[in-house]
Amino acid sequence: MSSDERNSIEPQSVKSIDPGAAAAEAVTGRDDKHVVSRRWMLLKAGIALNGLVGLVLAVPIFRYLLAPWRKDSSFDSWVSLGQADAFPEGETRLAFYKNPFRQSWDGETDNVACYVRRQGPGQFQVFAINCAHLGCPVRWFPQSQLFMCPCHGGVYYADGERASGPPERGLFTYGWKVASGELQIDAGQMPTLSNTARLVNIQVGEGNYPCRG
Amino acid sequence: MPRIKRAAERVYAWLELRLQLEAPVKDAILHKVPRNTASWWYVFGSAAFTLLFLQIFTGILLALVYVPSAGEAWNSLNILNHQIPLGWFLRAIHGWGSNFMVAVVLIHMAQVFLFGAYKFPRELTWTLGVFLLLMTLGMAFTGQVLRFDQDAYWGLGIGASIVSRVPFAGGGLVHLLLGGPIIAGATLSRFFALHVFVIPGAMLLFAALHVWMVLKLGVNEWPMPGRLVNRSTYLAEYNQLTHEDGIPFVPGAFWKDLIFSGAVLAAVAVCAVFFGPFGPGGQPDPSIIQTVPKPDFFCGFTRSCPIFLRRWRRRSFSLCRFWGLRCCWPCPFMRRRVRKAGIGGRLRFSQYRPSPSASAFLRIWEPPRRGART
Repeated sequence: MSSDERNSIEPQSVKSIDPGAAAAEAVTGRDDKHVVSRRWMLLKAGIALNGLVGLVLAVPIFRYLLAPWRKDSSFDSWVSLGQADAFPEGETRLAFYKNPFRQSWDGETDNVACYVRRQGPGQFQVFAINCAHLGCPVRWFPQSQLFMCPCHGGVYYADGERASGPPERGLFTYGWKVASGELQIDAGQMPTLSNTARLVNIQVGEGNYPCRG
Repeated sequence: MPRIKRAAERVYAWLELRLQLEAPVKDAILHKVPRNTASWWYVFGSAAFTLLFLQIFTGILLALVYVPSAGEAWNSLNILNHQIPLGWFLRAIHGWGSNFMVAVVLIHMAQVFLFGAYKFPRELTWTLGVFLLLMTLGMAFTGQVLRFDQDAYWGLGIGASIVSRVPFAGGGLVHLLLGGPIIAGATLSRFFALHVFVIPGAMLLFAALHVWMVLKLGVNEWPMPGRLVNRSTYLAEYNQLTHEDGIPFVPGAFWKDLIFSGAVLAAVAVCAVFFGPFGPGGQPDPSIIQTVPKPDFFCGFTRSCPIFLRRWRRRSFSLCRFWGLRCCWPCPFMRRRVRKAGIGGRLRFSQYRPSPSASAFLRIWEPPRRGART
């Protein structure tokens, strides 16, 4: 290709670009109403499409994220603590159970402890291990007949009533029943002020739960 | 040698033609800062930034071995400590790096507060900085959870108990926090996601914006007792100051940043060598009740922080109780004409309390104390 040829081509190519450049100018100068409105309309359509798809996607995403947010009652289940007669009268014993909601990768975390106090035949109190203040594990001291918390000094009497320290209330209790000789408790979730505080306690018959069976 | 130099220049030119980074980088590093603020007082922000990258780097290295599963996490940490060569050292650097980062961020905040650097036009820089502090503390807490031992387990219990005090939504929020009804496998998995993806991502974004604003608005000038910040004239005054008595950020101020960051990294390494990694303590088995859960230092510190404030309600469970949010976020919005008092001037912490409506908005809930005798 000679230099002359190249020179002769260049002006043409520039000319061929010109209409496009004019159109671009028209966009910024808003001379051509048709071009402008169509481009902006398509941009808005693109935004609307993405917004719509985003909304459609957001629903299942939020449903997935909120999956653990369930009613307290959906976690309630009766868990056996073993033979009721295994708990001596007039004593408070530590008992263990496996949390009913568990996965194979939970490791040791689904071992849950609780305190069983047997006042007499068919007379139980089952306390959560968690302090009503901030959930630390309280310990039972039979010598002083007190539950004490190692974290912030919460103290409870043998019947679970608050004795001193920061807790606002007594120990959390589980509903219980005796079925075919076994002591069963209504457990399934970590007791906190927002769930256990609402539990009703009905002290009648064999068990303290409205639907004892 | 000259040939190598020419080749290097050619490579640089090739890259620069395509990347075009020279101009913006020059703008950033050569911008003028007031001469007297190229000071040792101004090195904490860059040290925090350096520590952030140390944490990201060592965190990635730990993630090569750590197993984010409630059943295996504790074992994998013990293997890191005892079987993988220098695994203990990486854990120690990451742990001490986190402690140093909390400390340096708090010192940085105190310096910015005392020098009045949070005031106009840097309110948004401060606000992002408060969120960065919250995220730093969030990283420290979630990181402590990943050290899945007894302290981590009962620390989660404390977190759940605090969240349960939120009115109406408390129960659901506890389930969301724990990923289920109890502290178990789902809990560790979601704290891993928070610690490794969610919070670091947000932190990098916020830190980038924070540094961007520092570059755009300039480093705060040295405070003088009695000098007021006038919004209509401040920017012009600042520009004049940096033009007349300013020096380029690099090397004028940057060499101090570099030396301090290096010293902080060295201090982290020395602590890591001499004091070793943190835990893990006892295995996370909640049926072992012979345990005395201890919070990490930053929890205790943030609890005692607000005692500086007058009329502080000591027993309230507000956000601020844990994160100091109430006392630090609204600082720049408290008074319209503000004095840059500096450490030489009079300091009255009480004047930085927010209005009653703001504190009511920021308070979560104070639970009723039934039968309490105080």
